Amino acid sequence: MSQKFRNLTGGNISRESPLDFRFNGTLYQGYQGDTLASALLANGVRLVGRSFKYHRPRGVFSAGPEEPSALVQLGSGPLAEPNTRATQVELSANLEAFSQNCWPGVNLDLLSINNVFSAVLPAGFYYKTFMAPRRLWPWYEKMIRKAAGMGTAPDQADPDHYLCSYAHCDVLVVGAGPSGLMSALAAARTGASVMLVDENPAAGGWLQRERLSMDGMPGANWAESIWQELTDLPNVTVRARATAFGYYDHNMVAILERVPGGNDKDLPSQRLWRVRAKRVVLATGAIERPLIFANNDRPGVMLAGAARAYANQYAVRAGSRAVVATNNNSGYLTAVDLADSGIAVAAVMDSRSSVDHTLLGMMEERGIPVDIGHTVHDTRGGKTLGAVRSGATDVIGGSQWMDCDLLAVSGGWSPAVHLHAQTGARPVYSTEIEAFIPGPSKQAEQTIGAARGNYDLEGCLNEGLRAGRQAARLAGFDTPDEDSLSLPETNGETLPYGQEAFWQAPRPGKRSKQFVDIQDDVTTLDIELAHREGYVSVEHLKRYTTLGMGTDQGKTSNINGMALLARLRQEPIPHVGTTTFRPPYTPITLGALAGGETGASVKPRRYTPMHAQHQALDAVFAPLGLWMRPQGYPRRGETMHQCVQREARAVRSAVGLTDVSTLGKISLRGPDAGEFLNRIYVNQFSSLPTGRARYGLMLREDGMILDDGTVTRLSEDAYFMTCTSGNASGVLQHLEYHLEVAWPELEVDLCEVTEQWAAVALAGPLSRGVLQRLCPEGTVDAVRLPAMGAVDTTVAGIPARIIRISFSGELAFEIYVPSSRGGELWDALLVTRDNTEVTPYGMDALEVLRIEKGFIGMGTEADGRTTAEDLGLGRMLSKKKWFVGQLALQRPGLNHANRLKLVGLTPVSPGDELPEGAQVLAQAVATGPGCSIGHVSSAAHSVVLGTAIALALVKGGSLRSGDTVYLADPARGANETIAARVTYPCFYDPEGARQHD
Amino acid sequence: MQLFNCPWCGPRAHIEFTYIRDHQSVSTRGNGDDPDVQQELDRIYLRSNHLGPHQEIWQHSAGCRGWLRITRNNLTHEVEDCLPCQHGDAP
Ligand SMILES: [Zn+2]
Repeated sequence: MSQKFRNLTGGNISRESPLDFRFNGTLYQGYQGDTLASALLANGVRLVGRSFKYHRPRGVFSAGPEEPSALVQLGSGPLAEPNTRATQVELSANLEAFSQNCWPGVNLDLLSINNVFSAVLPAGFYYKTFMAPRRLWPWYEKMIRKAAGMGTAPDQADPDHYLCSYAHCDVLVVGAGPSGLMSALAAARTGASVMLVDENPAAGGWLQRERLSMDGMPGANWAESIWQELTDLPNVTVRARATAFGYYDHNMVAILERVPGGNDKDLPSQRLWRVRAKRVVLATGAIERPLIFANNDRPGVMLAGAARAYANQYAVRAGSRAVVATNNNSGYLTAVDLADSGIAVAAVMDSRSSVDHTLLGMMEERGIPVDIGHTVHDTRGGKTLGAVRSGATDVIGGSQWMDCDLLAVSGGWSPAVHLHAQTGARPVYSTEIEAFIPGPSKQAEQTIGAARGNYDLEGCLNEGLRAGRQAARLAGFDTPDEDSLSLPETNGETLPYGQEAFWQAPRPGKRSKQFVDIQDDVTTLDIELAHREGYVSVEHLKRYTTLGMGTDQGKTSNINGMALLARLRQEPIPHVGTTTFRPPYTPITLGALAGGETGASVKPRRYTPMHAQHQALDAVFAPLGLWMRPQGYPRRGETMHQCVQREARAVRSAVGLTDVSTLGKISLRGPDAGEFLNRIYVNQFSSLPTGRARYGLMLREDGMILDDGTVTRLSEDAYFMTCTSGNASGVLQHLEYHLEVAWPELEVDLCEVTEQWAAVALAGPLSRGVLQRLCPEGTVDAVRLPAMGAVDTTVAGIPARIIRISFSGELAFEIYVPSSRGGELWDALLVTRDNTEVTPYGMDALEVLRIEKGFIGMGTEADGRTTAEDLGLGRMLSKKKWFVGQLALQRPGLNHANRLKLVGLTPVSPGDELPEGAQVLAQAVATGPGCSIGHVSSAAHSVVLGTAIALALVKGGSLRSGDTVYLADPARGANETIAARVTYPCFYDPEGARQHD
Repeated sequence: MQLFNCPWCGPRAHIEFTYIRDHQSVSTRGNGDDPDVQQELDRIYLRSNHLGPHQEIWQHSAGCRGWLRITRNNLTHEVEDCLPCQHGDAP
């Protein structure tokens, strides 16, 4: 396989490591050290993709993160990664890449018809044309999305894995070019902890791309030696392939590191670093600007520095015959390097009116003609560049066509102030270099080198040295003797920058396309139109034309666009200002932000101390908040419904055992604990005798029910509270808030002990018999442990607290033991000595028992919008004392006759099910929106009635007792309503005789 | 990600903290003295929402669980002050 455009020598690539890769299915070869872009160019592949809107042919335009046009999709299937910059993709063995935005293929793109009709696709076209008729918008949108595509997102889960890490350092240096390397070295020598990151695989920045000698070696080698020195220092962390993409509050910099793992499945594909640094040094370099002339987007038109990078770093000739167009001295270095790498340089077009004679001498030496005061006006060619037309900068219509397949353009350099600006600092415009440079810092940050507009190598090294020392000193590290570090000797062609603004070549035809933003297909005509239509603010211009809104965020286009707008407004550029710089600097994978927090790892899982026992019984588990709790224990051949009915029946007729370890448990102590509980609960607690428990209800300040639970008084000043499993953390916060902020004068200590106690409920008419045999004689008999009684004792030899409380309506005991002995307790209760069958029951049976008794559920009946009165618990509200939420209950709206109140429902036809969540109607047929009089909050199949039962919140509540209502459940596809009868919301033992027995 | 300077723990990332409520809405009344319903409802629902420094109650929920009165500029998000919220700090 030939690499026709690769030189036999030179470049920082490993010719001994050839790599096969595919582009659009064709097999090519490149070398280790290539990017996809350099490898494509080495193989003479110039057409890489189609543009976003007009589907014009596009090629490689740059050699870095600023790339606007060579965007490719990497890989396929779930691993596909769209919109990847070919200029930043490291070539790897068997890499597969595809063109984007073309259908059916990059060489024959039928959608390029947009280009022919471009006269009807100006800025704001979509907004204006597709406004009406509104009903056609979905169709328009589909077509626009197909035509104006930006790659295709994969439709399968990403099989790669990602990591997030935090790091801290004294000095973070971003960018390992000459300024950054020097800075990191200087800071490291003080003993400060230093982190140095660079987005490229190797250090050096532009040193990789120039032909300079430093300390007697090529610049890239010098950079490598410093990088190595830093790597070896114990106080320094270096990260290559790591892009600092976001600068956040308090000096937190987000860095995305690409991990070259090959086939190592243990390595993440990317690592997200959140680095908190005492000081940050930004040495992020500068980005070259293109020139604006007609048809400046053809494959073959390239930033001059990029053409030079391909020649020097990759030994690739980006063309055979080149023209260089520039407005500054760096274009001449490009001409020299291109000529020296074997490209015929046909001419240098310099838009300036005069040029330093040393430059002319350099050109003369190589036989390169220079046209001063000239620039490129137009280009021609098919899928690649064929010729350029040049002429004087101030005359419309260039005179001369010149054949060439490479046009290297330089419109000057813009400091990469992105990270600096993300801190909230405002870059200021420098008329000296015609670019925005960093303004006053808003964080502990300093921007240096080319990122500050310093384009002189020696100046950059010097600045780096000083900035590194200063950053370390400001981070608390005294600078050692000044002589311990010296600057490298440099030699090679260095030139002053010498740029002179030249923003736009004369437009040869009225409609000629002079692209400003190549990624978004924004031309000078679009900017003029936007200005004519009143979009004179740079932020409006951006949104109307989409200038700078692509994945490159206008790295090569924004300044040019602003300059054109300023000229139209006849104002200086600083008056126009910049758009806001936002993270990320380059696009990042969403997977990297999620890191390891995907799937089952999103949240921790909590297991009760009896989890192993449940597993041994083949329990079906369901999540309850973070907890995994048994839903039921189905026997072989049993459906879940049959299982739940069997379990609930066992509790009603014999005895059942359920794990309630997930209940929130809070221990309260102190002389004011009783008073505290009085204020927190609606009912009285200070009067609770020692050794007794009470059911309590707590409200939010607005009067709505917050939670229910029980409180047991253990001694004069000690209480034990339980709350709903799912509310445990909210209740704790509610208590802490009132104790610490509202009533700090109360002497109460509270401690959450949820995980310290394992707990079960033993319920059913036979429960006392089972428990009695495991406790000291007489402990749980009806006299010594009456309903709502509590006792600290032992169960099966395990220290235990027993509270006689029932959430099933049966005689029941809650038994609390130390967590470590939960499994033991479970086993002891389940395997009884007299062969009484104790049935383990899960959450679903618990729910059936609750609904039969009409006990309220948190989140179902108490849904944050209901009061105690609404749920028939008004009698609990104490009138003798104040409590949280009391006053708000006097709001007239909370006492309105039309409020939703708790009722029971039974089906009119005994076979009907009552769907949970169904709307309640007064008529059999829905008459339209708003005819609902309530909803079903909980439903179950009753084991005592043998029919469906439900709790519902209905307007009027018990006033409708005996009425027939109709349940509509259209959201789940039910077409007909179900007739139900309104009942008292308790279906079983309303007097509570069984639990108080 | 901002740092809040917890008076007990030192500077910690704001994700360790939970916003609880506006400081204006804090009531330290613990009994039935002179209950005025309208005043109570205004406290709960009708707080002023002015521009600039704002006093808020936060909890260092994933840290020491201490309670803080934070002065946050709601224009810039800058946290200007981070004090323990204890006795006598009520509005
Ligand atoms: Zn703290």
